[in-house]
Amino acid sequence: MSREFRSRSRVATLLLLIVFASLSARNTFAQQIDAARFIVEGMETPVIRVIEGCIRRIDKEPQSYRRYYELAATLDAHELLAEATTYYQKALTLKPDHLQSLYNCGLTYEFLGRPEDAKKSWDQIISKDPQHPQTNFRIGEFYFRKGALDEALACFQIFIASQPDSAIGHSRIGRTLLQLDRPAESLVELEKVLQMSPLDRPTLVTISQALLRAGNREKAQEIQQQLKDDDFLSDSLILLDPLRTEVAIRAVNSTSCIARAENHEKKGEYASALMEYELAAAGQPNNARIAHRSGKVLVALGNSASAIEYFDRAIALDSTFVDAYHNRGVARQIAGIRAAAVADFRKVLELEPGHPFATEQLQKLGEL
Amino acid sequence: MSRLLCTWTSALFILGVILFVAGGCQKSVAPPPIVALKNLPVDALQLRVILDEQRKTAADIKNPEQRGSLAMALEANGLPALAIEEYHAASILDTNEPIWPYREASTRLDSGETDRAIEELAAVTEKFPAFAPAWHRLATARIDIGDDVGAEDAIRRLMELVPDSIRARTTAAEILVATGDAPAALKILEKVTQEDRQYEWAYRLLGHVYLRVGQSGPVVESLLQKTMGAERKYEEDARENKLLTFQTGRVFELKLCTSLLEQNRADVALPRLQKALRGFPDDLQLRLLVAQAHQGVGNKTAALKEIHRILGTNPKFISAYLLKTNFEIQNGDRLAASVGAYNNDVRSHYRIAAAAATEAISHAPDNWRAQFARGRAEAKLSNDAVARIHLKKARELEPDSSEICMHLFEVCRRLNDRALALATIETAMELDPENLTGWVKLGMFHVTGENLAEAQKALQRAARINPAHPAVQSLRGRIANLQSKKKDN
Repeated sequence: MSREFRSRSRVATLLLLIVFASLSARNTFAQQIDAARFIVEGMETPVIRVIEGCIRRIDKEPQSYRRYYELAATLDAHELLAEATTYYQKALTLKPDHLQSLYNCGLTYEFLGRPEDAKKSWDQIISKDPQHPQTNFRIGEFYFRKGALDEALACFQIFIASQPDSAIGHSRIGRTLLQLDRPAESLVELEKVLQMSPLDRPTLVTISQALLRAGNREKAQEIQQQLKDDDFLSDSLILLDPLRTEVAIRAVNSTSCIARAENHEKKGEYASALMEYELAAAGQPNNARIAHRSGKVLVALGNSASAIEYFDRAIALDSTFVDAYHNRGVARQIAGIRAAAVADFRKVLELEPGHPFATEQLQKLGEL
Repeated sequence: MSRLLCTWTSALFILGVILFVAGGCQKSVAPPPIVALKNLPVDALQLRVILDEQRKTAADIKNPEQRGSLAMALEANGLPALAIEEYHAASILDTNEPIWPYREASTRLDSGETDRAIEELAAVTEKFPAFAPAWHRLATARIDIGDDVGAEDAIRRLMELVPDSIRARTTAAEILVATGDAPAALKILEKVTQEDRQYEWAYRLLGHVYLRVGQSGPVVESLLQKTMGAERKYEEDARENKLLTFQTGRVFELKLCTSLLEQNRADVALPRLQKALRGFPDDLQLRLLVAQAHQGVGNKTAALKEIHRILGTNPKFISAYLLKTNFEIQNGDRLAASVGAYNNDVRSHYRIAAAAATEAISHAPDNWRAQFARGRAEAKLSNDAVARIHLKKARELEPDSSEICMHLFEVCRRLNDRALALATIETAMELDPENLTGWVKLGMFHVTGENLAEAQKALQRAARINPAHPAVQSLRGRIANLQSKKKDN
């Protein structure tokens, strides 16, 4: 009887131990995440919410590499790079060949000034997929910076083989060929870039250098003159990089939201812009400029009644905000609230005497 | 001894009965007094609904349902503080009913007493854990204050109660997107919007989620634009429908009935408007809508009678002239469909339309609508030169209307004023690039001018909108004819 009791109690103890062991293993990773490490004072509310959300999801699914990747990418998107690498690595311990984690972890290492670690991370991708275009591009950049030009050229050529319409790919090949003192071949590549992006300043600079090396001084001077005179030149080449985009879209801080909103505005996508401005305002509720911009897109959407509410908010936050008074005046005029519109235009002139638009509006209304 | 035992047994039995009755029955509570309804900031229509409920409540002051009903009438007509008192009274009278404390908390939440409302909602969910509306409202209130953990807990409990609910699942998606799991939110919303195509808030959220996963462009933009005014909806107790039936007021009726008339639901709008007009017999805007509703249900005589009554009261009420112009043009068009455009009766309608528009212009020469109305009426009478004058004036006053441009184009085309016709239709197409008919008309215009290249461009634009549209096919045929004619030459 007592032997049986003893053996039963042993089995029970063993079972309990197994249960406890499994419970502690389940929380191994989760317990290590201390939100306080990256949630600092002054951090915007939407950013805190997404980071904490990621942590809670890890808590629920501690064995999911995807949940760790999501946290890493979220931290990465908000420039918490050192922390991001930690969780990319956690994701990789659970799924060592996870492409997104390897690639973006490499990039965060690079941003942190650890190029060799970056290269190691990318090499793991290349070992599985030697033709992976964006990784070859990144490794090409790594070699170029190190001065390993032949290796860089080989990587860029792999990249361009699968992305033949990439201006930035041709630009990198052209630049590398120039460094290799092969100006004629470089010019061929750079001409391709110009066909796609005729106003790209760095490409024109490289072309003028290549022309000088090739002995075509006259043409080089012509381009240098263009570089001086043409106000429309810009750095326009972008690497289409879906793996990086997956990270960037996670950014919900006001700066990122405003940048996206401006982009939408340029395309006339006012409702999308408004959505981004609203998210930006959640991060910076006391920013008069964001409220003002929301009001402006609402005017563009033909919703002057709501626009007036946003301008009211902007003015409540900054009573000297000239543009907000002016635009509220415009919105009120559209809404048929003439007297209030006149009062706004007069306020603009009080704050900024001679304001041309307010003067014009008052003249149109027969009030000046 | 045995008698003593018997007495004790009887006493215990009586005590037991008393305890049973007291425990099982509702404690009788003195009904709280009805809220004082003096100097309410409401209009005549709202007051009528509220006083009606107050009268019923006074007759049955102990009835929690009736107290709740008065509270709803107060809430629906913008009197939240009084509504809260009455909801509270209802919940005192029936402590086993979750809806009254729930409505009390909801009303508080809507009036900005967020913290107290959340506390009260939490208390309701604790006392009545099977009452879904309170869990739902609690979840959304917590999302709004950024208490994501609390929101997640509330939505989990709600989903246990109503796992298939569209509204609850939409809120679950809302929490996911706020906490950074947009792909999971997307999965939910794509399903939800397939199951229920009416819930605009879910579509709005879907648009938001598309942006969060990096998808933007015209489709997402259109989705967000179309759902600009969308609002969340909550799990409901059937009795909450009363809130909608109690909602009234002049402004509310004007807005609702305008929307009903836009949706061609004049039959629904007319009785509402007639009822509203009894509260505001001198309100010309309401009467104007009554006229529109009469026209909508096909009662032309009643419509014109209302318009004349308006103009009898205020001969400078421009909207009435414009409505009369529209009616007469519509009536003329309908008649023309059976007897032809040159019939005397048809022209008589158009002449009355033109006269009404002329009268409007005499009162407001810078009103583009009046100028546009006159232009349309004159065009119907084939007085194209006069029509051109008024449509040009309308366009000057309202340069952003593609509709004016299209009418002006037609008139200029008939007058063979090709330069103005072309400039006008090009502006129209800039203002409304998705107007298939406009592109076809532009194409036809170029065909008649034998400008093959421009006609083809217009055809391409039209075909991009709907390549199979008969008008597009017709334009294609005309262009082919022109091509072969040019080849032969």
